[in-house]
Amino acid sequence: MAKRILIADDDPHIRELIQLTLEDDGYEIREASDGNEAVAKAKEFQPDLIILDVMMPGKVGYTACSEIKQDPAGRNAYIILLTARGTSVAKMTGETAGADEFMTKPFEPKALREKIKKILDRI
Amino acid sequence: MSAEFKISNRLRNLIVIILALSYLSFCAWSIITTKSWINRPFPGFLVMKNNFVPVFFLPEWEGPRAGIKSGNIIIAVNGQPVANSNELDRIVLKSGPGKRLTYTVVRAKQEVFLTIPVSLFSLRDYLLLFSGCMILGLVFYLMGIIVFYLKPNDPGSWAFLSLGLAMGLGWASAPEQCTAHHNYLPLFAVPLAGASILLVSLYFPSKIKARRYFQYYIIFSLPPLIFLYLYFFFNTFIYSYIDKIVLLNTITMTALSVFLMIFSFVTSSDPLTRQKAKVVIYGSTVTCLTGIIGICGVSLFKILSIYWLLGLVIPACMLPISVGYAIVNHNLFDVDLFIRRSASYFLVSGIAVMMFLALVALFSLALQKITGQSSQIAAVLSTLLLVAGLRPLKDRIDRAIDRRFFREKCEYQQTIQKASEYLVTIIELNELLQKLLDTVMGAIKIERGGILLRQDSPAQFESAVARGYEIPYTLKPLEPNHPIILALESKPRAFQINDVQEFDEFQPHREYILKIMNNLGIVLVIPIFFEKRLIGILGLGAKKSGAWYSSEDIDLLQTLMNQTAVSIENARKVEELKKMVELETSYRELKKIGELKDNFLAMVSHDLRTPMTSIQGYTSILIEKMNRLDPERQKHYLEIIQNESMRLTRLINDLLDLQRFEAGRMQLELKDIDLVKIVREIAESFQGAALAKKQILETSLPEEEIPVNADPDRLSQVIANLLSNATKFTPEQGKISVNLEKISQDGKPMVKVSVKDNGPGIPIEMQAKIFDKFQQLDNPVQPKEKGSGLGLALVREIIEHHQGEVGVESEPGKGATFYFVLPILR
Repeated sequence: MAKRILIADDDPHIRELIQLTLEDDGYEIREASDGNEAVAKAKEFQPDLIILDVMMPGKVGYTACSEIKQDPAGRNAYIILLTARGTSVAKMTGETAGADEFMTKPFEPKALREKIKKILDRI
Repeated sequence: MSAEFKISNRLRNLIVIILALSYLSFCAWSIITTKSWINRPFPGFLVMKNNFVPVFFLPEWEGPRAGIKSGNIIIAVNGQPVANSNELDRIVLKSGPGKRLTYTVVRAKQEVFLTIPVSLFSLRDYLLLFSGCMILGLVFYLMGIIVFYLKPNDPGSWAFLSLGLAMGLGWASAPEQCTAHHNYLPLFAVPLAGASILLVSLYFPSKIKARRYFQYYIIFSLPPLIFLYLYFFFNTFIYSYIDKIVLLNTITMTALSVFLMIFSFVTSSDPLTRQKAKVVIYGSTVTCLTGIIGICGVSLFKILSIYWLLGLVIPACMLPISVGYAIVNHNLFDVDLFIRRSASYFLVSGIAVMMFLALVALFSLALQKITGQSSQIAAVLSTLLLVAGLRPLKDRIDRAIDRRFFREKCEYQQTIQKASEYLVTIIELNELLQKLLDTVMGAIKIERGGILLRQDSPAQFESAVARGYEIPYTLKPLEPNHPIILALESKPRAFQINDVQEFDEFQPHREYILKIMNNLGIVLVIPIFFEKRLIGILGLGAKKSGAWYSSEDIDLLQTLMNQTAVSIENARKVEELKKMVELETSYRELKKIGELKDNFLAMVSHDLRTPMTSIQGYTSILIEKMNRLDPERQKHYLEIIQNESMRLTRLINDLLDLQRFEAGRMQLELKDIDLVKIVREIAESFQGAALAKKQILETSLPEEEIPVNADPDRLSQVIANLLSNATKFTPEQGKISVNLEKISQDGKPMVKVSVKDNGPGIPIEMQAKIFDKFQQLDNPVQPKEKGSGLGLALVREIIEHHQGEVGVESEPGKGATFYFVLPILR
């Protein structure tokens, strides 16, 4: 069964970019354009991995992340937080919210693809 | 000054005891050896051992009455030559009283024959002669010793001691020398006295550069003169010349010293020096004047016997007393106070004496009527009564005299006392200290002063208020371990600059403290203690009058400062409380600013990184999958890259522009332009974009030109920004209208440009801050369209730099109207 990935980012170009990066790996991919949508889709779609942007309208990534992690449906999802800032504060906030991994923007598509592959193979 | 040669207290006491004992024994010896002269026949005048007639005589004696004058030389009696006064004495004693003797007298190189009856040297003669000389000698000697005792390490007091010794021994031994001829001390006294007076004046801290030469003068003139004086004592011919030279030398030295005093008084700005000099000048003047009057009285009216004491001795005593007083106790010596005291005591004693006499007269009259004779009992009784009656009256009389004659002084005390009222009523520390200092300085008439207060961080005494310094607060802070602070903490007492030389607590930093005080222009320091802790210092400059601070001044100021201490503590507590409130407020504000800054950084970093992510990401994809992608997709990705680059450029430009505006470095190129034309052009350029989004863009512009003074590029940017926002937030089929109308604001002609859309509108809570940086709304209409969050902030900056204003009106759900207003150019 194809692994499921949810991409949550308010910027359509970024979503498209991530999808493009992962298109050859045969994942089942869904998109969400804001925090609320991300939480709803995570519940409904039950993805194996979520790429969650921090700066999103509606609900910031941290909040979305902790909500997803508290929901039984999303508890097992591996969450990668996409942050613009690589600061330790951001990291700490993210860890408290239950994020498993961090990636800072801008990212290299190839690195993202390999990282995701490794994670999903492990699961 | 002098080298640090210190006389220990034991040595000082020893010296003082030896001097006092030797003087007492000298006096005793003097009395014993001259006692035999009472009721002894004498020529009717005195003769020194070398046959010179001395200055000591009473006018009623037979000698002066017959024409004998001081300075005459007796060479023979009844034709029989006399080698010295002992031979003369023997002839006189042999002759017995009443016998007329003819003396051969040399005066002005001529021989004169004077016949004078031998008379008896009475007890009265003895007492008059001795008491005058003894009193004068004793006063000089005592003052010399006292000054030395109090200031054993002051070269001035050594000089004064030598003056005291010379004058004391000279005066006290003079009668003995003139009668019994056992000593030669007066010979030392005259030249030594002049030298000592000169020495005293040399030790004034004045700018006398030639001090050295004066010292040479003393050293090289004194010993030879004394030697010659003694050596040629019996050579009457040479002695008469040397006598004159010695006298001239003494007069020269005295004149020089008076000149030096006046010089140091005139040239010195140091109040201490001025004060000392003033006192000495007063003393010398009084001495000289009364001396002249006394001599005039003697020679004109022949009244020496009565005025011997009053006319010469008492005024002559003024010199050592006043000079000694000045040297020992200059901080107490306020000439005003001195005169005031004397005036008040003179009046009091005058009244007292009159009352006393009246009472005695009354009592004796009454008692005489009753008992016959009891005037002595009357005197004793009335004295007791007077003393009992006067005691409670004394203070009142003092005060009455103060009010009557020294109103200024009285008012000044009242002013100071008034200051203590501020202490209670003013809570604000700064205001309190300023008012206090101004009052004190105004009342004492000083030009410089300041208060240093103890601060905890940094731990130092810092100027809280200062007056009279060129730049305010040049009163430098003092460290808590500063010698002045340590001295005050070890001995809490006020001190004047001259006390620094005296008080032990300033050891070993005297010179340094003096330097500090001189630099600060402060002559009086008053500590401010609160609960035994030094919390501050009041420093005051010299009085304008040049007078020293009297002990009364200092007591008053110290009392005032003790009260001030309590007020300062109170004010401080109030201040602390205030500070705590302020601190909390400012902390909250700071936190807010910090949050804003964090927010700004987060925004900038996010907004820059997002387009960068796209650019980098798509470029990577393109490079990686170039061969596998069809041209259509390639083009699409390249367009994304292009758009994102443009977005990045816009964002950076906006950010830089905004930063320039905020830093005040934005240069506007103002021109007189037609606003209608600019709005029309921009609106037309947006028609294409609106059409693409199926929006209607309407304009309502006047036909006439509306001139404004503005930077056309910046103004275009404003309109473009507003229109671009409107197109982003307006749904398909929506309508955007651009409106331009003339309005009047506060009577001034203005033009209002508004851009109206029918998008989602702006929530009320957002309207106030929509023009702030990074205040972005979620765009439900076209989520793809993302601005920088800086557009409206920039719009506001540009318009406000054109003396205009921006605003927004919006009803959520029904669209928004952004507008700006600019002044019309006339």
